[in-house]
Amino acid sequence: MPLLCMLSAAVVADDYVSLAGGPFHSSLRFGNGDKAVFVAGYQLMSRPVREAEFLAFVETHPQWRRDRIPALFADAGYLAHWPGPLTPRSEALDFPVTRVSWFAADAYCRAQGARLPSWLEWEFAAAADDRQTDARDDAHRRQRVLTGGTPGAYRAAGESEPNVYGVHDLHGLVWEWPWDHASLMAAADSRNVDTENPLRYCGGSALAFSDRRDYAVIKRVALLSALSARTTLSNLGFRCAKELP
Amino acid sequence: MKSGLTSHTVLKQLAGGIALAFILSGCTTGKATTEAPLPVEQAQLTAPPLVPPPISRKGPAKVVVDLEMVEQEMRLSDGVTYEFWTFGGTVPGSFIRIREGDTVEFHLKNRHDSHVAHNIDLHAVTGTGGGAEATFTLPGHKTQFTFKALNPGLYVYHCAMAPVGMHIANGMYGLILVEPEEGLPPVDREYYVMQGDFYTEGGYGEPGLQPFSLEKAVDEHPTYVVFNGSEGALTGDGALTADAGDKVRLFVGNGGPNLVSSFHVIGEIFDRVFYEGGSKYQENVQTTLIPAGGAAMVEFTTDVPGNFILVDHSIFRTFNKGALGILSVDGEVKPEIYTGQQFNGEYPEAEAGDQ
Repeated sequence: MPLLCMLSAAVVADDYVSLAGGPFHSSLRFGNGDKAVFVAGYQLMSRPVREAEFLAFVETHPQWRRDRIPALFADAGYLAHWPGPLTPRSEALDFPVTRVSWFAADAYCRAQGARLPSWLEWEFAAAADDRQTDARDDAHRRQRVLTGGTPGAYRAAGESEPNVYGVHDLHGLVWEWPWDHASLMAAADSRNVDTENPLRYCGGSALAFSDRRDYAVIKRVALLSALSARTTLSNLGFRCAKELP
Repeated sequence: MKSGLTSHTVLKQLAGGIALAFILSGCTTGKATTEAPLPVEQAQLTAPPLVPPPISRKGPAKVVVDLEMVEQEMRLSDGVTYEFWTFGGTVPGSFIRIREGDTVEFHLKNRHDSHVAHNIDLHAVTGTGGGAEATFTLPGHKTQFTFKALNPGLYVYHCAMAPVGMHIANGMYGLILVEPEEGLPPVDREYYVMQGDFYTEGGYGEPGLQPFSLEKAVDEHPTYVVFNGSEGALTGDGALTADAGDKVRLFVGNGGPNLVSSFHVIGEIFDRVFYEGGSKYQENVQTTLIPAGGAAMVEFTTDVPGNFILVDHSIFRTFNKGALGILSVDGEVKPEIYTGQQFNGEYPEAEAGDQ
């Protein structure tokens, strides 16, 4: 067991890439008009956490087994797709782990000496394609990332090139937990909609977004804002981040 | 002793007063309970083009609606499929029929394999977001809210989850009919038809699973404009049917997301159009305008047999984008109303002197 733990830790350690950060125009409004926000440098896992890796974590941290986790920390769907509490489907060990709550994802990253990425860190890395760091004006790319999370996602068709940072699968595979999912709405602009959560209303649809054509982000944030920290979904996974060394 | 009696009387009066208070309060509670509780019934939902039967109740009820939101790949045209997002597994979504004054307990489910959250805004609802605020529903979750149907009419419902345009463009709309208290006049046939515009990456007819095109949707350049969710949904085996002499009522909606429909049935004149789905009607109408997010009830009698073509008379949509349906009417020809062709031949060229 300790060996497996060390092995998976080694895999995870190798799996991070460094991003220098910098000024960034988020598709969300952060109450700062159209000014760029500054994203500090960070490391990000190049792939979402896989089933085998999460199994190793659950084996060494049995309080996160699905049959032991308190209901406070995960809903009934937590790892429910595994045939047993310690047995993912053998053919799926390399798939991104899904049906994990924010609490479990957070605990996993902490156990690696890491943390979940913030929304901005996720969005910063996800703005890139395989040639440029900010490819969001590319209409073809917009179209491509729009199918993310669906059965028709381009990743499902076998296409999975890393972006310029060496990060894979930020689009087109699974949704991912950001560390600050619960504050996404608090940060959204409410000038146009007099409500705590403008996304819940028809009229608020794109008003909290500085880029109203970035539907891939709008769609993702709409989903993330609906989550509570114990929610699990069959297409929601995570990856970890940490400070630059 | 006297004072004792007096105090006794006071006590008695006091006791009587308390008893009276009890009786009064009992009366109040009694009144609430003697009011017959609303009968509870489960709404019968139908897939298009079918419509649930008219409501025979003479009073209000509590109606429970169970609707499940399903994302699934379905046919958009011959050889073309699309990842539709639906209410009840069909485009348009299940038809809901209730009565003015009903209290509707709405249960909304989002199927486990959905990939995003959905909600529902029913235009028949008086209240914040038309229910959208109360039904923010994650995949694998269910939500519930209750509303009273204050206004009769034919109303659109749709998903109002961000990005709203995309949810509607993917097929998340349907109709809810709130019958007036006196009901609708009986007819022989009722059908459910709803127009929608679709935006695909590939051009019209390009085969395979076609992804949603954001650019075309924002530019309002649809690839397909169809009735009931796919090209040909109302032709061939899917054609609507009636017998000559039938009174027909069409519940026609327009989900949009962008286009306004110039709804017309070739070879028929609408005897009555309850325009905009409201309570007033216009008579003897050729073409009626149905706004995106709006509806109309059209009624006519099928006097003669034939194939009557449902179109959007913004006519390129019919011949190049799919907006065509058929109402097939059986029966005896009536030459006194329509003869069919009586002559086809050459006529002599006009002589120079005639001009």
